[in-house]
Amino acid sequence: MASVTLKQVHKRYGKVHAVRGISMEIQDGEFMAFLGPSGCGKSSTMRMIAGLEEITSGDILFDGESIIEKKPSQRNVAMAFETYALYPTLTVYENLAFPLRAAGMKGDEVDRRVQEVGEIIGITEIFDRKPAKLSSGQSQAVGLARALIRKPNVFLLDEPISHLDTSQRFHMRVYLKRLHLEFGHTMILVTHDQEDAMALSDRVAVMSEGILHQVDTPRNIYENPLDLFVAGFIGNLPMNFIDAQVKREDGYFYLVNKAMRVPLPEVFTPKAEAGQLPEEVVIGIRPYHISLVSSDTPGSVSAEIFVVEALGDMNVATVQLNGQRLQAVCPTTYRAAPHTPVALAMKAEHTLLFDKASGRRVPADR
Amino acid sequence: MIELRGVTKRFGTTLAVRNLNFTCHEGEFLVLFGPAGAGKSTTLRLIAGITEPSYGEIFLRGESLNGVPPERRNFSMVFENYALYSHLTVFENLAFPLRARGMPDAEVRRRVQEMAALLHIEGMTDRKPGYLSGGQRQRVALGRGLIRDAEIYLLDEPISHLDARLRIQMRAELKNMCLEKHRTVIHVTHDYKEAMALADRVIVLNKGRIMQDAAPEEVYHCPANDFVASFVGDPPMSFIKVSYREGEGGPAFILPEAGIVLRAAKDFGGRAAEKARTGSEIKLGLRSNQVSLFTTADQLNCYEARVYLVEAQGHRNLVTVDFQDNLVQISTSPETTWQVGQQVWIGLDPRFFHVFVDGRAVYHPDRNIVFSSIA
Repeated sequence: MASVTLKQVHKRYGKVHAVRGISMEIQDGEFMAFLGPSGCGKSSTMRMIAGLEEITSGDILFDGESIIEKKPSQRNVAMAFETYALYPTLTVYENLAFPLRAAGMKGDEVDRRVQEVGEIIGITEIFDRKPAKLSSGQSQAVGLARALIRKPNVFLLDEPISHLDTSQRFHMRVYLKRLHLEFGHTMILVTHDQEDAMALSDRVAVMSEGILHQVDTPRNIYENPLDLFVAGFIGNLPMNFIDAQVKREDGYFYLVNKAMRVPLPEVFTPKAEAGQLPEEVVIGIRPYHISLVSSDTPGSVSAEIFVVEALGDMNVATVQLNGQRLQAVCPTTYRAAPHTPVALAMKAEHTLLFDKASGRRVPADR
Repeated sequence: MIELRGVTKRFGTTLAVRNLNFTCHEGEFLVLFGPAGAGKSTTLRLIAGITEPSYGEIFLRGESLNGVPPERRNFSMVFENYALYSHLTVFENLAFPLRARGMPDAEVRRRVQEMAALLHIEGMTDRKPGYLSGGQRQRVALGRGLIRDAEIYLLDEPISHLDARLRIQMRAELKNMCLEKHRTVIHVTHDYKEAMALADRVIVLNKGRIMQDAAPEEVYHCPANDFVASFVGDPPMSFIKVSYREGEGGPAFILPEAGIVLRAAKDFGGRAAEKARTGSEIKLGLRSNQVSLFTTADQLNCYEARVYLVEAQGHRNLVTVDFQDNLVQISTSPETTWQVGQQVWIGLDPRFFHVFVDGRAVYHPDRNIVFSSIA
């Protein structure tokens, strides 16, 4: 196991600047996710760590030692779900024991290690079988066991879950997270799926267009996104964004646009008083923090229903406000036809503000 | 409007779908939902007439479609692999179904612009498909399928390749459009949220068979069997293996090794009890928001467990606990903290038990109680 340090890592493919100066520190034993849409540079970064791609400039260190001159085989990096060529003439047990013996490990210790890994992965019952007699899931498990048995410095998972269906996904998440808990490897998950990244990792590195936007714990990424990109990318229901201006009327501050006028949440008042709020802002609020209320509620905003979706554990109302669509989570009993007039209330304590020009979040004074 | 009677499709020795019987009514949004290999796309292709049933018949307004070629069915289909014309621009791809029906140019232009705006692709109508991302191509394919008037719209995973944010937006657009225009749609997906959000009615398929045919709320709250229960929900239901006993205190579920007795709900009895008496494998199904989690034992109906896994998902912390070798998932507030291995107590309220006997559901909780508990 090792810590992994990236220092100003760049990758260019001809004219394409795929990774643009990424620096971060991954702790020994940490579960880190590289998260972003396709083309964000997450896979290139992972491949540079594995040694499958050369680094254009910068440095990568394992436990403080540069590894960029080392071949992939010398880095001791494991990739999950690679199709490991198992030896067809050897049993599952021998397939696991072979690399250990080849590395000079003694008989007793080999057996102890094979049993230990086999039990955690849950394959001791198929130890006697030959690879040809395994189902695809079983061969995958044996491949995984063989990757883990040699105690790699870093364990890389490249989109291991995204193609699975709902119930397989839940099982695979539990499995991967338990694997990390049991073995304590430094693990890096590469994914475009924010739910997988949030559920599995200790910290998430959010990337887009070769740039690292934020590295933080899932909770901080969710609650305190640094910019509009992170805010919009994280969350099982997308965050609502509303353009508005900060205006002072009769001594009070308001967030105003053509369709609404709501009081500026108090946590921003000191900044507004000090003239530190940009005039043009983007309000960010998650669907969980907008509720449908009666139209005489002070500070509420009128809108009309676009569609209501009943998802089982919650209903999601999409409403139209000034040609814009917003989503709000509502009770499972709520139903309404398109065009039904409604009023919305935004929870002040969960209202985020972003500078429209820079996209950066304006921190509140709490 | 369209009815499948005993439809079976055989490919060589494989039965892709077996004895399908269902009807899609006029103006209905019907979703075919299931895992890979369930037979969803095959069913859609049978309705479209791209493949013919091996046995059984498909009727449109009571008339058999046997032998009627796809081009004479006036159905509009969207394929998962897009099937766009690569030599035509986005505009011409969208215009194609309209021009093919001789629509005047001005009307074509108006409809194409309207559809492009709806799908957020208005800036790229001059481009050819080769210059679009996968998500953009998928939206063009969806637009081309929806742009013309057809009797039935057949949509095969039409938004599955979009990014999460866009997919949720497009889901709402699609639902609204079909409601407003009163369209008849048969939509295929493997995503349960998409199925729930869009459908008037869901048909759950697995291995070519219908597992359940019901309204989405029904599928969620009253899954017909443990397959549906394990496939629907975020997360899907957790299961606890038990045995059944009728003692002096009334019907109860037992975990014999731990000596735990879980009393059944007050209205558990009749046919459900009879099935439980005679069945061999009994499981309790639990939704993650109907189990509570405590750090002390001083609550009613609570039992010792150990934290197995914690997933911080932003809007909630999803905690998996090991309860007598059963993994049970519990939704907790994002403000709570839990440690793996921590000793905890789970609150099991018998009013929220779904009961499965040999895989089939025999009892579901009263939905009014469930609604009031999560509202």
